Amino acid sequence: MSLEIKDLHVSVDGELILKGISLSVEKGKVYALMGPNGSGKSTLANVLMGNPKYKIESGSIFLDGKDITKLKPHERARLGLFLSFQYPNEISGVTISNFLRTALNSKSDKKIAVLEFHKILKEKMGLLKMDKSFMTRYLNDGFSGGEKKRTEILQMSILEPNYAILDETDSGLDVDALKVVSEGINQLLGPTLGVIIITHYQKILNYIKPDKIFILMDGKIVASGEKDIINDLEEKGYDWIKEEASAS
Amino acid sequence: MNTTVITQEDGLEKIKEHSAKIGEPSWVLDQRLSAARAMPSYGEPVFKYGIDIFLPVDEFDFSTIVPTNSLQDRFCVEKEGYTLLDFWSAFERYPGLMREHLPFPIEDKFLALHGALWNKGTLLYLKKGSNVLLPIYYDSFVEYTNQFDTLLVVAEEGASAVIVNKVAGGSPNPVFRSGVVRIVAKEGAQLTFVGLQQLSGGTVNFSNHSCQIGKDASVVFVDALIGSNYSKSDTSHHLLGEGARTHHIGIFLGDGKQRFNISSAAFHHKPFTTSEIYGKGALYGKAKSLYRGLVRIEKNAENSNGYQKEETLLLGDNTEASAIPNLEIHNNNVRCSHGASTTHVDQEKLFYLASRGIAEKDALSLLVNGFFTSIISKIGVEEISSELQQIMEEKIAHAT
Repeated sequence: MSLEIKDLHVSVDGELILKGISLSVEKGKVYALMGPNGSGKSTLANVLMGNPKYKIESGSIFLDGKDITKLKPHERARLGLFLSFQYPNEISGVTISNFLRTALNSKSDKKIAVLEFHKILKEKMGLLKMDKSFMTRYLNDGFSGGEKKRTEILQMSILEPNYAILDETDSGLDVDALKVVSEGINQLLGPTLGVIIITHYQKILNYIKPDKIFILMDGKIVASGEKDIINDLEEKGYDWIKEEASAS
Repeated sequence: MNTTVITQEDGLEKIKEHSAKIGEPSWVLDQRLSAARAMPSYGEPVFKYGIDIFLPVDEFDFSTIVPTNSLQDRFCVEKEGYTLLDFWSAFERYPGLMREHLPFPIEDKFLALHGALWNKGTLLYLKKGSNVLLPIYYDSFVEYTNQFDTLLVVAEEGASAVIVNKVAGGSPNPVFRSGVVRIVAKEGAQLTFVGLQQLSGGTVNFSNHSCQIGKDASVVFVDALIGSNYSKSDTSHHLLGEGARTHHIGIFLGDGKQRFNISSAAFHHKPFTTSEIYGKGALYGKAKSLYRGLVRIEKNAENSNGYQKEETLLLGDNTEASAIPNLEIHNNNVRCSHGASTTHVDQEKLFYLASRGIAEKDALSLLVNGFFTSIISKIGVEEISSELQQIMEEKIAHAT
């Protein structure tokens, strides 16, 4: 069981951003995808989720053996894919509670009762140290950066995906918020979940231990490895990898 | 618009016969006849505003508007704090009050037509100092014939109430409905009036609302337009005493080939008066809307505040909306602002909702419902806000 990305070429507004990405994400494992700004990290996140703004020029995406390259975002979500957004949208007038119940109900034929849902929601919010007043707040409307990211992880915990892409979930968080969000993510890890953590910095990887690390530069994966690669990065920066990659 | 049928001798005779049959006072008949005679002096309605804005009334033949014999039953509901009764009963019971408020000023051909032909009339009389806790529901049901209904609300000093006027019925075939609402809020009265128009598809609806707001009185007026084929809805708020306040909440939700022609105006006649005019609408399919807003501050109305904001969400490729906000300020010591905008659904927001498994149509409904949440909550009466929200959710879910 895996999420397979095969030789993916993707363009935005006519410009080729991803230039042949292949990745295999297995359930039960955590992957880190790192790279400098503009390397294509967010493009990969968006295209996996099916954002119509991004155009797949060639290549394919398989989810547990099923070709999802042409599926709509909601169909991918229903198959168990989740994206934690780098910049979650503010949806005024729609409460977190109403939104998440709609989302949960659309994933299965069995409709969950309101009271039962509220119980689950409160429990999950407690794990993320969110005040229960958030239930009736409008989704991300006027939220701080940390509150938005916490709400993304709350959504993930309710929807229980099989594969989750966390796009810069650590950006804009102070140390305390990063700790809470990381703990929240760690609680969700397990044999039924495969995770790609997209990050620019190494900080979040102090809290969540990846099994494998990929380095993305200029639309290509230029290096991969285990935790040693992080140490090298920390010492020498991305330029080192660039040199390594061009030398090989 | 063919109104000659009414102003000609046989038309006037019909009105006389009709009036005699009901047995209404002679002064009422005189008012009907002078309204009918005044009709030719008003210009033909053109449905055209400025250079580019034209709202056609496609399928309705105005020559079919003739006096009708359909008449409401007499009724009188007496409750703690208020009396609700038909006009003919009110002529007997409150003759002074009825003569004070009738006829309503005639400003155009449709109001003249209404003045001549009105066939339903209801008075809601709120006694001095009464505090009516439960909302007062009064439904205006439109039959399968032309209808001219009038609702007069008189709130004596310090009275407070919430009034819900549902306008429903009509026909899938062309039917004309003219509705006039007049609200008189005397000193210190506090009224919330919710007009909820859910007429069926063939109905052509002309409504005219006017609020007379006295010293330290406040009015919340909700004009929610959901139904009908063509809906012209004009509301004017007259702030007549110091400290008078009004809060206008205009909502419209259209699909198919619905047309909305809406105006809301606040006239500040006295100092320390406040008006807030909010409008929000959404259009699906080929629906069109025109929204005119006006805040007028008279010369002696210093220290007044006027605010208006209108926003229309366009959801269909063939929808059109125009909004014209206006300010006429004749006093320098006031605060006024206005704004109007037309928006489309943000595709990134749709993608965000879809990424959680919500199908596009449902995601769109969530966004549109969310768009209206803020204005609906301004009504300030929880049970009515949630009822309106439900009605709108239902329409949004099936809008085409």
